[in-house]
Amino acid sequence: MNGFQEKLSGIRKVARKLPVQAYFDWLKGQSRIKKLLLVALVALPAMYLLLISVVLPVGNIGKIPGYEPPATAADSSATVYKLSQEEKEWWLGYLSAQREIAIKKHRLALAGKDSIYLRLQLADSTLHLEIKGIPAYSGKMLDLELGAPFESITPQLRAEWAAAPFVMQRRNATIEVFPVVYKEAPKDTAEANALPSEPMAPEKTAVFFDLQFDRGLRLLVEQDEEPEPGDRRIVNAYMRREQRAQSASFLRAARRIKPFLPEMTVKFRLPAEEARALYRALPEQTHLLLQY
Amino acid sequence: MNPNHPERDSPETEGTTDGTKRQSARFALITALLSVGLSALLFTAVLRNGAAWRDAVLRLFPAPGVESIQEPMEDLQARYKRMERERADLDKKLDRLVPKNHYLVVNTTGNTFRLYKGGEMVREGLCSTGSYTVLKAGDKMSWTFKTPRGMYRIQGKISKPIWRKPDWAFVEEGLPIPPANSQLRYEAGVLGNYAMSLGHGYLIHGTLYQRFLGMPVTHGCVRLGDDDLEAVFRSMQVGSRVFIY
Repeated sequence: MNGFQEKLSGIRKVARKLPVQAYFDWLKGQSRIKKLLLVALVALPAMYLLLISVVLPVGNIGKIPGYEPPATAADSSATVYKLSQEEKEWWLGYLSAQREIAIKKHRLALAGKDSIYLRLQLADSTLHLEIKGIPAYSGKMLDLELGAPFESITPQLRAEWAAAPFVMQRRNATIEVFPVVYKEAPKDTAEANALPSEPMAPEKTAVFFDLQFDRGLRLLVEQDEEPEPGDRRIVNAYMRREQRAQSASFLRAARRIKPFLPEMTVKFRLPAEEARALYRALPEQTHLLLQY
Repeated sequence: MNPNHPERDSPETEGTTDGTKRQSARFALITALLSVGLSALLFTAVLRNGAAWRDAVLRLFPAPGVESIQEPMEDLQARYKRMERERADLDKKLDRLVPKNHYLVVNTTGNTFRLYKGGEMVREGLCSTGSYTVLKAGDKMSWTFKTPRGMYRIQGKISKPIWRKPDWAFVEEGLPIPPANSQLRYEAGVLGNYAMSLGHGYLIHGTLYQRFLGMPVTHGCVRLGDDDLEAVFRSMQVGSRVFIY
């Protein structure tokens, strides 16, 4: 019997057995396929996610999720003028002036409405809550951190992206926007007199919040003080919500085979009471002006 | 029995072969489960840390510098001059937004106030603002005690104000609501020496409960301590702006 016939009779014997048993019997002898199967089972899903989260975003470097630059910026048919080193410096100054003018125009426009909006000045790490153009609150952003894309997009794209106000889309926080307390009216004076006359102590819950704006901007604010041990559960629940949201958008990208592009994140710390006041002052449709 | 292959027909060896098969199936199953577990672990690790890894990798690729532009420099320089004039003009307009006289800023979360003159802070202190209590009287009536946010103007100034008690003041005390023109509605001395109206029934006034200053205890008005109230009353005029956040 030659080798081929031997193999054939082996397969016939195997085929007569139960399918699962036959499969394992067959697999036993296939060391290379076994290894391949293991590698595929163990590593492929993770490798796919790595592709979505790292390889594709690097391939799409310089893009901002949720933001399409104006068509003119990518006009390849226009004449191109090479810049000298001196002209490059001047051009950056020009962009900065252009951006400053745009922001000032928007400040005036927002001041014209009855709006409360945020203004972030990254250059000096200050944060301003303005009502009708008047800074009602100004604070220093501590430990200011900018997300990776700030460094990987061109100055021109960044200037175009930040030129108009951002509008808040979603928020997540450890505290409520309105700390409402419900009270039933007493039926008579005796019941009213029995009610506690001392007010409730001011709320001291740890303050962490995440504000998501359009055009891929995300503001992460944490209180500067270490949270009290009693607040750990609330803070952990907030962190879990954050992680879940992040994982969900990651999986969405993976399902659509699209790069999991990073958001333009601005993260900083504030004293707890300032962070609380700031979060509660923000209306539903908060606008944010970003200066840098 | 086949003498050439005695083990094939022996019941003992048959059992041993079955055992080996079962064992091999078990091993295969364990291997598969381990693989799935390991895969799930790796998957979760990437899912949790993918964003951080991505950001770390992206930081290795700084943005390319500006090498060329699509407009001649002369055009841009001319436009830059116009932009400088526009910028100066905008600065003037923004400066004009800041009131030249006194204005008040109230923080309803911290229950603090700041009095400004022409952008410079001249006084700060504690106040009391809305408690965010929702008072419910049956299914039909409810009141929310919150201080409204935004910009307001002083509508009127009153010395020795008399409080005209609204319906909720009676409901809160378990009393029947008197008619609108009833004498029971008027109470002197509870609003302090001065009051400034913000419109819609909201006032800046004094308080008998000075120890509650700095706490959210009011029905929507802004309460100040006696000295602060006097300073604010003397500084703010009808039309002066109050910014509440």
